[in-house]
Amino acid sequence: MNKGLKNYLLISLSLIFFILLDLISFSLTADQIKPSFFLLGFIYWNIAMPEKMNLYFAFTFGLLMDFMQGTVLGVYPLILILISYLSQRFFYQFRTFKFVQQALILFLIFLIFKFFIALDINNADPNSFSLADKNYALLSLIFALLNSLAWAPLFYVLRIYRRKWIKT
Amino acid sequence: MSSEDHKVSKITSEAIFAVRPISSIRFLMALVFCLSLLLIDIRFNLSNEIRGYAHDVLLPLYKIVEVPSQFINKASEIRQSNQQLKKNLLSYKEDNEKLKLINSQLKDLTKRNQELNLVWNSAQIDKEAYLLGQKMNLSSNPLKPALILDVNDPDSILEINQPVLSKEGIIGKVKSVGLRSAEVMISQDPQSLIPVISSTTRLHGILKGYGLQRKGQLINVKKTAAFKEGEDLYSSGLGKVFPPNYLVGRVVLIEDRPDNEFLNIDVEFLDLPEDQDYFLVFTK
Repeated sequence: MNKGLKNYLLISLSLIFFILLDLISFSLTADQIKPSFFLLGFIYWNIAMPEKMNLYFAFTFGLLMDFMQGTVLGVYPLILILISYLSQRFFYQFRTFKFVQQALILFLIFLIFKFFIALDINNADPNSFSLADKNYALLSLIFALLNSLAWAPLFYVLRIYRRKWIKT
Repeated sequence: MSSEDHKVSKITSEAIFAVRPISSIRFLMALVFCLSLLLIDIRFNLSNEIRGYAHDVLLPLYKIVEVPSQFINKASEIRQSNQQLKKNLLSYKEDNEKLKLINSQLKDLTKRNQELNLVWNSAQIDKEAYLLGQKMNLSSNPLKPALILDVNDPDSILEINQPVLSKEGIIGKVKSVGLRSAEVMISQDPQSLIPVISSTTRLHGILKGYGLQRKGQLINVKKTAAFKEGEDLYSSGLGKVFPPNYLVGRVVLIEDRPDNEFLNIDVEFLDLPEDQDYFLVFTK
């Protein structure tokens, strides 16, 4: 098989595996705070192999997430394209950071992500611009924290996977 | 020194500084495209036409996700002793007897309340009017809760806006239909509106959702309305989407705030379909 195609398939396979992991449901609260392995994996691939991650990846997986999460079509592609662009634009800098610094940046990214998802784009509540409340904000903070904590182990796991299977 | 000792060679054979990021023009074009898609979907709800079919394609993924939990359940079932099962069976038999008794009481009650036609209608169960759907996935987004059902519908009678019921009452309505999948908008969804009638004061209202694990609210209720805390809310049948007399929720708080021209009435919805695997779609 073509080496490039094989690499694309292996990256896609890892992302699909993370989507499956994210789909596993626990309790309602746990589902809201558990780390989003898919997003972490997506960020990893954009930083580790920016030349392999293009906008089609972001768009296709974004649509898939929109269908799974029930969000308005275009929300997740928008988020993934933004993440993809930022990751690829600043990956030189990001790679050289310590894990603590990387985790801090990811904490902010995931916090912004959660509040972006809460925007009332359907105008369900005419009195408010966002559907987030205090409880949602608290859960978002925990979600962002858990994601930033999950970054380091996931980084190592994906690095092993990349070195073992993906040949450049 | 062999090439194996050279760590950098393991990471990549390309010079990383040769990698160009996504060009700003392509990024902006993609952004504009996504925003257009978003606006079109908000304005015309186009995605509702394809979501059901998308879930048909994603059905294998939902099934794969269930495998670990099914395996764990099976393992724990095997571990259960025969004695425990017999005990369970006995308790179920007892419950069954109790339910039969309650059922007979209900029948008696319906006869007495024929004028109101309340319980009578709910007891007239037309089995053909219901389709059984198996839960495939419940999205983890609390502000846009979507339930995916796998419905065996050989006669294709499944349609958008048909109500979905749990064993307790109404939990939502069909939002999108595929070949065998259906996406359900849960009554807690911020876009969900259900016409309801209260059980004791017989007042009408519209129940609006605000997201999972949040209370719903009766909207635009005048301050003179005499709703009572603790009373149940049933579907009123107005609007012809939801059938009448199905339980939807319970009034938990009534507040008369001076800064609001309407009453603030908080409603607790029925328990979420977290641990329930099967639901009924009302097709008539």
